[in-house]
Amino acid sequence: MEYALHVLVMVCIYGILATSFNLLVGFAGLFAMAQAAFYAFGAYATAILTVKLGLPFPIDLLIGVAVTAFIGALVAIPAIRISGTYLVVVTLALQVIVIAVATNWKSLTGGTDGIRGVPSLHMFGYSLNNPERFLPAAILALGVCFWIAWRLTNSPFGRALRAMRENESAVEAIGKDLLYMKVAVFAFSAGLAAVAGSLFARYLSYVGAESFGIDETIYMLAMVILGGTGNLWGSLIGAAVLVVLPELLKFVTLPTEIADKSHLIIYGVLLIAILRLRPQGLLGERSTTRHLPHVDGASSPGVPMPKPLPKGEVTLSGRDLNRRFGGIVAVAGFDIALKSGSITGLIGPNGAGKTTAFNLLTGFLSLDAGSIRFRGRDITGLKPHDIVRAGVARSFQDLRLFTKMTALENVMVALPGQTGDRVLNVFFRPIKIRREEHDNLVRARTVLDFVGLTHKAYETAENLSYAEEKLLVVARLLATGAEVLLFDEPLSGLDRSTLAEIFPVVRKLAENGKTICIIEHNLDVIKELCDVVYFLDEGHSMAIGTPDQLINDPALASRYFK
Amino acid sequence: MDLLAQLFVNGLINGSHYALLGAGFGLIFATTRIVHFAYGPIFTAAAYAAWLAANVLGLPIVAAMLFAALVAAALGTASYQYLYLPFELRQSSSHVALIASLGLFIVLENLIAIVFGTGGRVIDNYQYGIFLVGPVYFSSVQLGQVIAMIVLTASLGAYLARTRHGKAILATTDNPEMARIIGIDTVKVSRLVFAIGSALSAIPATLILLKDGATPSMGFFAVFIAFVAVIVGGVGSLRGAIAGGLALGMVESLGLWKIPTEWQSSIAFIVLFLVVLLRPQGLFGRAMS
Amino acid sequence: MNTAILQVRSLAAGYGKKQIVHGIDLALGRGEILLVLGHNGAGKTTLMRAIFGLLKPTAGEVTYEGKPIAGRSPGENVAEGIAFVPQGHGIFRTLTVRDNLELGGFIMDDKARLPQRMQTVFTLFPILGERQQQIGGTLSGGQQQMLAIGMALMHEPRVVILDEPSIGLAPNLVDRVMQSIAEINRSFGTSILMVEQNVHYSLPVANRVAVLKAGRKIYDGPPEQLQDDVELIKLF
Repeated sequence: MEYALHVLVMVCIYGILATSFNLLVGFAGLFAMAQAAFYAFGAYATAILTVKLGLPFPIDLLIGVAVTAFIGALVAIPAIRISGTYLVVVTLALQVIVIAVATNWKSLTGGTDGIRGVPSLHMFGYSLNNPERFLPAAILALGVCFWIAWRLTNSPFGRALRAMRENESAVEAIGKDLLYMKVAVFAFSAGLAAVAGSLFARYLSYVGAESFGIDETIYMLAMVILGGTGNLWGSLIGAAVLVVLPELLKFVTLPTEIADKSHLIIYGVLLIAILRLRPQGLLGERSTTRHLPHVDGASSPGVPMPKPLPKGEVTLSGRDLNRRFGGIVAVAGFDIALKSGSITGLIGPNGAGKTTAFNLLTGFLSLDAGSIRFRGRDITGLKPHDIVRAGVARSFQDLRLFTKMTALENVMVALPGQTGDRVLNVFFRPIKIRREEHDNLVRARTVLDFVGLTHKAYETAENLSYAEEKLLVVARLLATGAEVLLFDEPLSGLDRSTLAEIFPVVRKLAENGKTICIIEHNLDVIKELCDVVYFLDEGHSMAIGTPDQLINDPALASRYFK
Repeated sequence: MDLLAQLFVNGLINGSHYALLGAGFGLIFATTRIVHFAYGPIFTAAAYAAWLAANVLGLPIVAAMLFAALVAAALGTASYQYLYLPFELRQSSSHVALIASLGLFIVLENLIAIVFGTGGRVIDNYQYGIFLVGPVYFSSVQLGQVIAMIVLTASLGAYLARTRHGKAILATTDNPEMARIIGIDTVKVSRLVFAIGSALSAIPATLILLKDGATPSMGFFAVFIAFVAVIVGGVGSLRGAIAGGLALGMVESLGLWKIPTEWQSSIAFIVLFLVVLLRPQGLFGRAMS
Repeated sequence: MNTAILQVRSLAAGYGKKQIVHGIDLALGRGEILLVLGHNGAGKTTLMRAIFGLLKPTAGEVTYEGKPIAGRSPGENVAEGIAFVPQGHGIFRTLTVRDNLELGGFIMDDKARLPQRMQTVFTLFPILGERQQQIGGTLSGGQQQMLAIGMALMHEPRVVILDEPSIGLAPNLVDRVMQSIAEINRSFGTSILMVEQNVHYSLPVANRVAVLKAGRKIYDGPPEQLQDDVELIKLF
């Protein structure tokens, strides 16, 4: 009986670990291989602070969590600039260092002997020094940690996190701060793992280096993968299965050495098997919009329709934009002025610099020279998410939709100014966020209505038809609330009939006073939609005029085909 | 001063070991883009295979090395064919191969532990010579490590540059789509690099067996340091892997001059961190896509 | 048409849901240069890739010398005499000019012919002959494109498919490349299927022109009728 309770305690501890790891790997898509290191920090913090410094509970826990969270945040900072493989190797190195320090810094960690005599927790006068007594505390800790992870992932922040997992540049393009999100999720993941570590130290009264190696990280990873990335209940199930399963092996008598190793072999085999047979894990990821109430067609009276903006004013202007890549001049002395209420086209032969111009105007590329102003305010040099918040947003030629999220979620995540984007608000201002969520839902539905995708609101983006995907790109861009909308080939690949359906949507945007700029290669689209067209070549504008003027100009036509 | 000279030589020796590991791992990584963590336990398996051949069967060391290379090549090719290739055909994301590799890592490492026991295995009665050159001393095994690195990397370089298959490998590493366009079977190329890369690890594995003995967990550090050497030196460059490995060995060893031993592996971390932050493409590499 | 060496019928292709090419018929005559024009996104590259085997068509058929080849791997097509020069100077940047050319002939059984083939390429592009040991990535854009074309010629193909060979090149180089393509067609009788954006230099060398728009063919005929740019731009 005591043994079964012990197993349950371990399930709780690993439940916390798997949950913390899932936040990082499953929800944020950040492949970090140092979870056992964070676990170790929490365990050693408690062991060292209680045994060597005599600090009481909960001081040791709080310090351990804070320090570990801080280290997690530090790891995140270089992660902003480096691709997946780099993150793997850097976190792996962190793992190695932690093992080395744990094994070698004898005065601090007791080296291979570890630290013994960690005092048990006390509750209601009882010392929690056996599984029966410890279990309630473990369950409580699991409950709290799970609740924290749940709140985090079911908030607007969580939604943005899942979007970031799908496509980082797209998430920047809808105004989210990547660095903030990565630092936050690393800090939370590391902090929760530290809680598990502290618990572990209190339970076993002993902390030793052998518990925190790479095997341990792989063990936790197996739980996350088995249970299902992106599903918190899955992590609990994964933890339960992988802790309990090897215990069943106890019925087969094996020498202890072989028993331990066999457990690990089973984990490895299970991991591979799950990836082959059911990659989404036992519980696949669930869409959070299933929780959202179905809203009927009429808009809620609480959310006013956006007022149409005045037209004819210059909103976004770029002056003398310059950018080269090594020896190649992409954009040279490019001037552009976009007006509200008008649709501007950007055409030109290949390599003329059109997409580069968009990247420069929206902060995705830095300028070598020149300046960009939005409504008189200098926005040169701002980061993409700040530019979006200022009021200039762009779409991508290759869509970059959040394919695993529903159409509704794709739009909702793009809505600006969400209180729930900041993690502290998620925990300290839940009521305001809930109210905002309802408003967001209505606003998102309104946007979907505008583009004609209402009937597909709850459909996953990857299940939409190509034309519907294109409409969703428009919807997502519109949702940012940006006044200036830059579309990069929004209508390519669509046939005539679909184009005829989408044209009115784009025209309506301009009628409402938005500033629209479109890069297009299909000149029918340009003729149909644009009030004014810039002809780009060799990195700057060669001519500005109406579509008819430009297309019928023999010199320009000649240039187009030069 | 004498200490410095010794540290320098030690750095060269360890660096050569790391360089060779990096060369093997890097060949696989650059060509197939797979983070083959199981490279570690296959390295370990090679060491144990050499032990079996030398200690149990009584074969001479060189024969044991060749046997180990064959075993490693077989394991490496099998891991591609039966683990990674199915995922590749399914067009799974690269994360999946990495996670699968971790699964294989843990399976192999523990299988070896079960079969051979957790205690270290050494070659009985192996006598090695010690050389004293000025103030510096080193053993014949350590000399072997440096020689092995020079000979094997030179041979690998020549193979890649001069033979038809070698050039096919270089082509696939350079531009996999272009390789397909000219008719190279990239699956065959992948199998080949897994075989060669794994076989390459068998030589340092045998030398470590001679020097320190074989333990089941020796693979983790091997794949870790190989990975770091490749990132520091630059992905896709043999020269880079060598430079990265040597640099790591040198910095680690010279670092010992001032830094206590327990911090040794953190030196690798610091070097890695600096390279990733300041020069992500590594010393010799092209920027990774 | 039985004189067509390469025949495409009702070909449809795309990437997953993004179906870009919707039912195209095309016939490349023996010894002909067929130019395919169209705006970006019209499906030109997708069509070429589907024909060569880099992409599996979703519908339709491709026949080569009367044999169906749709969905075959590139390697099989190369072995039978079809070469592909992809967009953006497809070469091996870390290898030498000589190595690149040798690799172009990778699939050849008779390696003894390699030196002769190389000489043919050097005659066509003398600058490559002067820089045999130079690393591909250090060549200029134009030289890289010549190398890419040279690679395609190494195994004596009967059909060469080129995807925008003039992209990113200065006008004089474009002219040079087009003249070389015309030369290849003249001297070796190689049939050429060429996608281009640059009309001025490619139109004069073409025997026939097809224009694609939004995944469909809207023109197929002699080049003479498209000499006027203003008329042509209306097809884009």
